[in-house]
Amino acid sequence: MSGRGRRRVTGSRPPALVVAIAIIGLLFFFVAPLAALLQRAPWGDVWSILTTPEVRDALRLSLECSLAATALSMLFGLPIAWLLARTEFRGKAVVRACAVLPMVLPPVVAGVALLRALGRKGLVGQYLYQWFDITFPFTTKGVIIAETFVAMPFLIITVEAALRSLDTRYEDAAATLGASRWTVLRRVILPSIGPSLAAGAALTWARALGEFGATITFAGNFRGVTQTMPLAVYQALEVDSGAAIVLSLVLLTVSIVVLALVGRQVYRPVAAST
Amino acid sequence: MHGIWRTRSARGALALVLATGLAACGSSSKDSSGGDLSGSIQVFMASSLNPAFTAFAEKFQDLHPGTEITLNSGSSTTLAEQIQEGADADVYASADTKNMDNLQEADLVTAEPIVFAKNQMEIAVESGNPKDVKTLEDLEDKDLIVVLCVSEAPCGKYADQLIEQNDLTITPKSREIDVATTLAKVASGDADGALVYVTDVKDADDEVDGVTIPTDQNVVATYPIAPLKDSGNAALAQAWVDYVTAPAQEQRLQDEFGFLPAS
Repeated sequence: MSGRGRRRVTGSRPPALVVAIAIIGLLFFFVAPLAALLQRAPWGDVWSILTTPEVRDALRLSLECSLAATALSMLFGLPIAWLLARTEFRGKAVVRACAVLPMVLPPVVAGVALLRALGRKGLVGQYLYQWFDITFPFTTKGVIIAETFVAMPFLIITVEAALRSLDTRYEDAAATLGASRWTVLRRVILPSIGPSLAAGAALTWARALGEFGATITFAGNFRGVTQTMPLAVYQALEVDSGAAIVLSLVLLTVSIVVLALVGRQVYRPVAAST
Repeated sequence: MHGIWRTRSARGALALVLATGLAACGSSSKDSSGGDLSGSIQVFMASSLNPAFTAFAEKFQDLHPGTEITLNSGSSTTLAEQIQEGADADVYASADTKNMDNLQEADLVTAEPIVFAKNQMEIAVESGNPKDVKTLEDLEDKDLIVVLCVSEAPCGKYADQLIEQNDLTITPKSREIDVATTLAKVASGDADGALVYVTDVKDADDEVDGVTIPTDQNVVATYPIAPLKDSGNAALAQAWVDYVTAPAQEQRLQDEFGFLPAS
């Protein structure tokens, strides 16, 4: 990937106004809050805060649950995105609205909805409890469910957009050459939407990692079982804002590193092929 | 969380009012003439006062047209810290005496704080009390799912105190962030019992029932209120404190909102 080639494709220098607005936006919305956190952080106590067992538990739980939620989101989100992008059926608009509803729902409301659906006496949860002895509230499973519920829409909309923009002639060609529909999906479609899938998964994971409201409302808050990093941050905030800031910075660092790594994977091929 | 939004939206409304006033080219009247109440104040209050003060503020604004009472609810500790850091507050109503004492020591209140209500703890159970919880000791049953607030929140602090002074062994399944999420789990039937304020149960009485804890086992929270020194509208701040602490309102706090008498 040569810099010169890319410059030619994306055009000459952007107008000064665009640059100015972009810089103001970056400073105001992203740099300033981050700088404020860095400035207020009690750097001397960082090590002692990070090595407490509570923080280790919360960090481990956060990573496990957010990864599991991402996997679940892909398992269910991909087929949903497929249906939305490639099939026509009555009420599709309503289905799509439902699928992205968690993005606009206040997370605490999402938590209450989950309780009423999957709680011990919930619409569906009562049967899970009676027949299989499965309950979600106060369990790590519950955290994963809450995170999946809130984060999956990010995967669905990213993948659906990619599927829509995909040129179906490749699939047709593969089918004409005798590939089964499953093979077409596996060998043609999934590789072509790979970058979007990775981007969608990264967004989903980041959303799951930061999830707070639905988790606390649906799964509760107990160290080592349901207390993820955002919950630990909130609880720390009540007593020691310094500790809360350190925890937030850990969460930020982890997510920035991962998103940057994924971003390099995702945006390199796209930029080169444009 | 609610508190922040309440404040912000109220500030937005205020800004709008100001802008409208400016647009009318200075036709606004001065508020100091004749001692009539006008303008607006911000009341910082413990979350448990939210339902009662919301009702009071509506009534007060009806009685004194042209006034605006903005309510900002949160944890008493957080609010006290915000006031010490120079938050734009006119009146402070706390759910404990400790935070009010801190403000008094910092010389931030103008009048002696008045205790206007008390609160105590109750066991919240699902409507109809299906697990037949009768006493605090019943919560020691390992088969019961008990949730408590985090120790940092007042409901959690008092729950800890209850457990300690009655020498109970209760293993909560969750330490909830606030009363709302605690009661949500009881109301949905996912938790069998929780320890919260009597007033919280009263506020959610269509969804949960309360089991009374005997006075000799219970802990009592005291609610003082005082106008603040940095108030930009001392007359209105004092009028609000007078209104809330008047016998009629103290009675309403008990009858409608479940508080205990101040003395």
